[in-house]
Amino acid sequence: MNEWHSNTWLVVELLLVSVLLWFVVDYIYFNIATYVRPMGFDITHCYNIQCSKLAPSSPDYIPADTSYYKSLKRITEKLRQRPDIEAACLSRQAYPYSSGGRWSPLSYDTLTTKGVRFCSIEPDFFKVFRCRGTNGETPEELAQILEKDPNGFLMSANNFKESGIKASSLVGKKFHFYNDSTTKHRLLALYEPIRACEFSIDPYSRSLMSRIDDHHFKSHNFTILSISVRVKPKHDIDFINRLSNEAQRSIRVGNLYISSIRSFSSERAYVLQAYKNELRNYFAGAGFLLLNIFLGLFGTFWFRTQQRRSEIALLKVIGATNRDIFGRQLSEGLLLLTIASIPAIIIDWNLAHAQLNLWLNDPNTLEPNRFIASTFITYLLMALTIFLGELLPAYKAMKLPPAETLHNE
Amino acid sequence: MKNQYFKRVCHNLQQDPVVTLVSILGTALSIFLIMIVVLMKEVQILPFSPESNRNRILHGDCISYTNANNHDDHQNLSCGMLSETTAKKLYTSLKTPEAVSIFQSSPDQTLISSYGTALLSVDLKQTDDSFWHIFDFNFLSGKAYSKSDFNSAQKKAVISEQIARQLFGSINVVGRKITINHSPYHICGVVCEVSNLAESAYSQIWIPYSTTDIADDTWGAPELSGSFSAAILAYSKKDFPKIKAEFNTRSTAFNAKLKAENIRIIDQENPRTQFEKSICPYSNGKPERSKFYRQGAFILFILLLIPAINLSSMTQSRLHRYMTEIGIRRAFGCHRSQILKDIIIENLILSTVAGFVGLLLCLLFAYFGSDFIFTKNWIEDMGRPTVSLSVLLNPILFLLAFLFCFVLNLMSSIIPAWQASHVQIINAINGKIH
Repeated sequence: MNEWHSNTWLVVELLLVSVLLWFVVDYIYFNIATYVRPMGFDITHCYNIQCSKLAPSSPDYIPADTSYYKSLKRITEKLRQRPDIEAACLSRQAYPYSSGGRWSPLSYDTLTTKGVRFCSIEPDFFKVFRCRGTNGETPEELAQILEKDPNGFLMSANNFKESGIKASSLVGKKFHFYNDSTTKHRLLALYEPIRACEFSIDPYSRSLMSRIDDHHFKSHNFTILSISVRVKPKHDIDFINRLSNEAQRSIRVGNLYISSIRSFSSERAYVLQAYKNELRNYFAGAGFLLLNIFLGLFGTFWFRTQQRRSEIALLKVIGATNRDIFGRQLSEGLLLLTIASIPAIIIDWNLAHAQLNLWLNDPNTLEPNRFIASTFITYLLMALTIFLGELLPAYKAMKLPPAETLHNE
Repeated sequence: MKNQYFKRVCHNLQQDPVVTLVSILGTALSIFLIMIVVLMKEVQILPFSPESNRNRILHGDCISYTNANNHDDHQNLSCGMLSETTAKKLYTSLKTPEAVSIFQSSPDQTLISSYGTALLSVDLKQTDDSFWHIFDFNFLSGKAYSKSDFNSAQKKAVISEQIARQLFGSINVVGRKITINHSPYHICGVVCEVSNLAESAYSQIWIPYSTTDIADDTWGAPELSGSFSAAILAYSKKDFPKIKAEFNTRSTAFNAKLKAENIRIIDQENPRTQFEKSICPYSNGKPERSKFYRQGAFILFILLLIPAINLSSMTQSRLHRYMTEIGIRRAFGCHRSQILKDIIIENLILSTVAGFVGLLLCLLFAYFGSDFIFTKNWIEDMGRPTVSLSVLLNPILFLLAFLFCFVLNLMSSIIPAWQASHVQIINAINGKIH
């Protein structure tokens, strides 16, 4: 009778933990599945360079110099000419892991899509970040395409998905940006989607690349422009210190000078910190749930082994082997888990429909593979924890000396 | 009477060491995790140097605006920090507060050098003179730049201890020269290192913003956005509603003028208290208190419920041993309520010991593992999230830990204690539960 009570408590606890653990596992599964998808760019050996303006009180200040865009283009060119630099480009809030940005609707005829990240770049952007075209165009070819038609633009292949139209059929057509229907731009080519970061899902990774020119910003607001460079691999040793020191003497144009150089791995670490913190919390939650199951099963079955001493001794006397005793103990916990799992899976199914975690592919669609994987992994983790929790008590039961125990009882 | 409880607890440990130990571990784990969660919130709210005045500070960190004919507060917004002129119009003119400061919202990474040293990359923050009145820095030598220094754009800089030692090998460096952004500055003060958990005050070097042209770096129409935030120091917390009302009057008047340029500032409940800022660090929405309380309550409930179920079944197991004793006590006239009370108090002693262990582990983990627990989202500086002892050893933390122990104890022992005290006397004496 006492064991019925105890079993009921255990089943309730296993049910509650199963559901919570399923939610955590589903969240972690979603994040891992998103993380491993291709990024659409390569940031190894790449650095992000920011320029600043001398203060008017500085001894080197030139009051007549106000053409900051031209100065930035010249600094970019100076960097491009360096023997240790493979490629360099000036861009506005376009580089990977950029936290600022502009978004624009994109329209062709009556077709409009919203939430497209609007990037203003020099064509060498593709060479710096090794982006590829959907028709196999190399980064150099993509750069050339934008170079030839400065008024045209390129876009990522995942735009207009929601309209059911293949993006490749739109190449060559004329579009307009923002709500400016007077200026039209030709779509020149498509490139593989550039993801905002490893945890970003497809709808937030739609972008277009347009040629930068000086009417895109006000002359004193150049801090939103940055220069991205790709360093030749064999020269990528202590690059930040070397360039910082050399730049003070040789790379200053007008009132502009290089004020910060950051590697893209630092930029990436900065953006990913928020997601890492969230994942850390979920992992801690999963660890907490599993540790509780472990302690709960351990305590309960340790106590039960003590209560059932005479029963176990009797079983041994009538011929049960050590393995039988061990197996019986372990299977009891697994049976309780299986009983708890049936209502748990029903609740999980309802939670999956509620889409409390983000979808992987299309919004508002249940993903069966993901559901099966999350449920299976949850069951496996719980079973493993139960197995570990029952190990010592089951071993203790196995080692019980039968004759002595029956004598004492 | 109390001796009896302690004796029983020791007896438990001897008779059922494993089950008692598992109960202690379960409680300690739960209290450990709950207190980590509480600490993560406390570092954002509790005062510590240089933000010791957090209880009296209101933050005007950001602004969001849209077209005057767009009535949707969630679409087509421009959001971000304020320009200097906007911050002055909205905040500096307030009459109720003790002080108002306008300063650069987040530090820039800048290259500095001194004669004969290589370039150093540091975090630089540009502020006004009131900044030093509102935030209480610990000066190791020298002092901050004054109002007259700020007004006459004196090139003075306050630097942190680490920067002083890296550049000069000493903290007695007042009057020495450093180059910031190719301009010569003189050091006027050296302060203790600041943890980057002090979001408003943190930096490694501070200079007057009148010495650069950061105030000209504006955008948005008409020049509403820039790089500044405002901090308001009230004489007391009681003045907050008055300050907010005064701000709203100014904001409404400002909006009326902006209508001519087709712009409307959206009310995102600025200026915000420290607590409101901690639950809504962004510029494009209002602080959602009810959502925060709901989520917090849910997390705490789960962190208490799961161990409570575990401990409940373990308490029941342990009580099994004492059924005979309970039966005899009841036979001699002991009330059910007395039995109930005794069981709950004995469990409370165990819970308190376990809770103390959990809290100690939490404090050690928070002190030595602060980088792992407290690293903030979207912070791009070179500081470290060190937690000050005044936050760790705050009496509120200890009180909360005891409260959670008490609640956990109640949740886990009430049902077994009730059952044990209501067993028929004859069954209890025979050692049967039912």
